[in-house]
Amino acid sequence: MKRRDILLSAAGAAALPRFAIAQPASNRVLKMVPQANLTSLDPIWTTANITRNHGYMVFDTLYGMTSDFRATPQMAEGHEVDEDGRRVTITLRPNLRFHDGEPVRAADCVASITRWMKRSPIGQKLETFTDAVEAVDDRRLRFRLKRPFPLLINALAQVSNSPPFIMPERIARTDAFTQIREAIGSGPFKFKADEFNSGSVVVYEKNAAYVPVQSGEPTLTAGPKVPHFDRIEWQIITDAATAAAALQTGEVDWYEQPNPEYQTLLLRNRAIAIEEIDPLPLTGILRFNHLHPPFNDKRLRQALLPAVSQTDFMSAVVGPDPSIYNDKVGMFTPGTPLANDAGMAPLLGDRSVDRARALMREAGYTNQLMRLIAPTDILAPSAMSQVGADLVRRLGFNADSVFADWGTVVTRRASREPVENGGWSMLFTSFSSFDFLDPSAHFPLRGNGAGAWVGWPNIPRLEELRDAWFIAPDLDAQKVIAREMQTIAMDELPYIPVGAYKSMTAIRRNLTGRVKGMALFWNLRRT
Amino acid sequence: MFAYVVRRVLATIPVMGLVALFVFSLLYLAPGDPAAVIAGDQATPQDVERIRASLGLDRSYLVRFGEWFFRILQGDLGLSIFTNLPVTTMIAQRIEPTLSLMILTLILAISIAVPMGVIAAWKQGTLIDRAVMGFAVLGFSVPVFVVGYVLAYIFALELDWLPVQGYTPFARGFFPWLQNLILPSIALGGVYIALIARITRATMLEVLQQDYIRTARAKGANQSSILFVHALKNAAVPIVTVIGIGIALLIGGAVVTESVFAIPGLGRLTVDAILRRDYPVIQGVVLLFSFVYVLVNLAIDLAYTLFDPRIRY
Repeated sequence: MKRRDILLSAAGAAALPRFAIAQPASNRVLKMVPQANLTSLDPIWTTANITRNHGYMVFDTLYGMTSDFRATPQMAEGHEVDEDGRRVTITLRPNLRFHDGEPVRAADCVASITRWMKRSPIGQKLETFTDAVEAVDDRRLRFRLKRPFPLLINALAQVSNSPPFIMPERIARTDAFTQIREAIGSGPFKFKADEFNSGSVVVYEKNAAYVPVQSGEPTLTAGPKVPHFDRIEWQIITDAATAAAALQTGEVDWYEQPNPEYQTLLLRNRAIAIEEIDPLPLTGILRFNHLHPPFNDKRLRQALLPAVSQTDFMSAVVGPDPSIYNDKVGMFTPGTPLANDAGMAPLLGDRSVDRARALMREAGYTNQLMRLIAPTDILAPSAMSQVGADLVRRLGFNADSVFADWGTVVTRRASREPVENGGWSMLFTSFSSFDFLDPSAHFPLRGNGAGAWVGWPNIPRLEELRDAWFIAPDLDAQKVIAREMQTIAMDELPYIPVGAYKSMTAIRRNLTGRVKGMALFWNLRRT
Repeated sequence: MFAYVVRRVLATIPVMGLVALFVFSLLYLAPGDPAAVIAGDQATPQDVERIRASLGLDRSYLVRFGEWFFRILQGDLGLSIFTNLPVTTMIAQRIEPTLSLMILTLILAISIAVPMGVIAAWKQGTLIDRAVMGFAVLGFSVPVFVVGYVLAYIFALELDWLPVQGYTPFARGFFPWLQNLILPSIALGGVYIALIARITRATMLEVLQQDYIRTARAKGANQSSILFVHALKNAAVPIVTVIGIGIALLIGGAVVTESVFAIPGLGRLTVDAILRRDYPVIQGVVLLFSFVYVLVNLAIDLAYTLFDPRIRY
């Protein structure tokens, strides 16, 4: 019997009727199995999604982002723009307080934003436009810009890692490369430091003093954030079968990211719903190393295109149900304003390994060693890598596929050495919908050579277009730039998109009002 | 005796020093960089380098080892790279579940395995003997996680007698504590029961052939007295030795068992720390396990004197 069969049978048993000691969570307590263990409390220091989610529990932002990607005031009451866009003054809502009882002042916001600008890609861009960020008085802070930055308010509402969370000044003054030691914010939930046991349980309690914004609908990180549960417990359960079983028995209420095989089994339980955690999909990518053969040659990168089947890659990640994946994916998240079809022809239509082989011959492939590095312990990249390893073998590459744990891969992929000296040639990974929403946080689309994300493509035109996007006057202008970026990217291939898939969550049906986008806990209540 | 104990305790110091050197060197040479994990995808090489510097990972092997070793001598295992918490605090948070699991498993295993082995030896060649040996083979062969899932399937999911996962501290009551630990202890105890039962049977078979057993039978001693007083006491030394050696099995098995039953113990702490390259935590936990193992072996050596008066230190 294979291990997977055992796992399946254990979770499958959950569908059987039970009688005695299931321990339903109290109506005032919500228990959830998160996607990963919370190790760091600092959402600026690390970009881990779990820490970002923790950040949205504890901290608040000046602006929130609606599900249609409009920035709306959250901690801010509003803002004024003058001096032709070179001076932006933001006013805070009155009576905002941190969890330690101290009032939220403009000085806290200035310190928090200053720290955030050191780490966030869009923050770093904003910093290059900024002469100063200063507190005018306790309720007003001001950006003095060298030149207008049309995306300023959007940047302050950014959802991708790391959002500009507001912390008390004494905490926010911590160096951006050093971890903060306290999680004190002004958000809807308070972090219970005395009950925190990393790897076991993370506890939050309702911030009774929280004053939600008074208008709008709660969508994504915008609108009123009303906490209904007195206590939220994140139960860290690393074993998928155990987590699925705990959801079935009522020991937990919500399992954030069940594997596809468990989703099918959990669906048999009428008390549990399987839903999209985010209506927008994650995008999977095949990243090339542009520094060394064979993929420093554009023709060899292009040679793969006729053989890449997004359907195959996505089926490996989420199974055969086409309603939860997209196999016509370009450089931007499908379903978002900048998604387009420019330059996509080589990825669409009939797929052909023979055609790819012919292109490899034309490109002069001479059996150079290529190395695929892949993690075994993260579901989607692991599944995509297995399809990719099979593909390069069928194409006739002299391929060395190295599968290791994530900790090893993340170090190894930083190596700029040739393959012969331990370097790599290709890898697979995936990015959240927020990361590929636009060029601001879309670092695989950058072409800044040695300063780029791993793979280090040098495509100056992509950088020029990215800079132009930041100062584009409106959405139409942004769309034109996005089309050109995609056209260039599909030719130069900093990476190949291998499809997009939705991340599903398993939640008890008696929980209603869940705000979609990520694991958010305001507005959620038990009926 | 006292001098022997002192000598043995002193001997643990160089042993622990070697363990420390070995663990530190192994982690130093192992691939993986916590700074890269922390920095995330968006970080530039300069960002990663700054994080590495802030964590002190950019310094030489000797400097890092020297600092770490000096701190250990003062009882300070350092701070977790990720949580920023003292490693001693993290170990303290996790030690109760692991100790509980191991002690309960130990009690369960000894109270089942020793009688099983004695009875198998007494009934050598019978169906009972074969059943015990069959169970032992099964215990050795079936991995801990398989036993865990099967037990969870039957007792937690189908019968709903026990919880699927979690741990309740002993301070919150004996029965809630026990309820969470029954299935993990049985799962973890399988191999251990098999090991002890086999060695008990083999040793008992040897002892039961001895002249003094025949003498005891001849003078009319009853069967239980022969088995459990005359024979078992003389067979105890190898059994106790195996129980001690088996502690290592328990430590290894606890890692898997704690993952399957979501018990927040030292095993899971170790695995999590290894996966994210949290060096101070790995070093601290491995040192602790080594120390416990050394102490258990010392205790076993001392226990020999209780069973065999001929042994003197």
